[in-house]
Amino acid sequence: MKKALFILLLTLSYSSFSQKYFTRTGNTNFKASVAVFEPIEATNNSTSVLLNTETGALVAQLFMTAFQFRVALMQEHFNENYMDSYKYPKAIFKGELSNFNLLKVNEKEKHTLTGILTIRGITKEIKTTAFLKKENNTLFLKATFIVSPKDFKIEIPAIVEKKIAENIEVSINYTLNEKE
Amino acid sequence: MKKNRIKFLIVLVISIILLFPFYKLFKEPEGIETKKIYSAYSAKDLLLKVEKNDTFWNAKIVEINGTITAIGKKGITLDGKIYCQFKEGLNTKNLQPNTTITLKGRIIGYDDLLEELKLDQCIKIKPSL
Repeated sequence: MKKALFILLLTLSYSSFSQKYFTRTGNTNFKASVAVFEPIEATNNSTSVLLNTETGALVAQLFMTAFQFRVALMQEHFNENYMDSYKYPKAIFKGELSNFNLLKVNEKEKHTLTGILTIRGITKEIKTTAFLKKENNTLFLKATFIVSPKDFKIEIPAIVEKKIAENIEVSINYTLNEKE
Repeated sequence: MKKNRIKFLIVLVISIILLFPFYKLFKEPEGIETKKIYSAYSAKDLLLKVEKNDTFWNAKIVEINGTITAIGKKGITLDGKIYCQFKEGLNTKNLQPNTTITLKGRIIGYDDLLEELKLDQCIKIKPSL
């Protein structure tokens, strides 16, 4: 009897441990615009995100070339001159949502999201507030944070320096579903 | 009269020449429909090729055919290992699992998080609507 209970508990804990929410089509957006000049912003609608709902651990990964700009030339410069997208194709965020509890998501919508963002092989610590909402079996995660081109040693030629913001606002908007 | 016409033409040509750089400067990215295909592959072949040298395949436009193993809202999975995200505005309605399909899309890379190859901007080639 005891043994059966133990096995039951073990399988239960295992199944809850392996519970994950994910998306392949998360939206990551950045704005590097400076007032007066033309807007510099781009959207990535192919961000992969994996959230362990037991621990609150979150991993997000995106491909640089999947950022869509409104202007073709900007997209080309972004990939070839600034991000070296062919040498460093990915950006990866590995972090954690504080005090995350899947069953109590709607009671407390603000969470602290901390983690390490890696771009061009260079890491930067990120700390921000994430907003969470749960509807049926879908989790909505939103957050914004600021990065600077200097953080990732991205050199901007003097001629366009004034047109690219020093503080770039990154916003994430992920709709996560349960992973079978 | 004739002189005026010539003057007008000269002004027109000069303004086109002057405006051309602006057109280039603010041109929108080219749509997938008109982009040239690098080559056509079956889902299995493409997986093997990309696994070997994945940076080479970054942003390549390919035609790919395979069997639909899963259908999501924004895209489909081919042969269980390749996720093809459809072009914005296209939906995956009217598609059936376990049928074959040919798509044109852009390779964005191998996603080691979800262990699948990822394509975006996919449009349907066969069966066409």
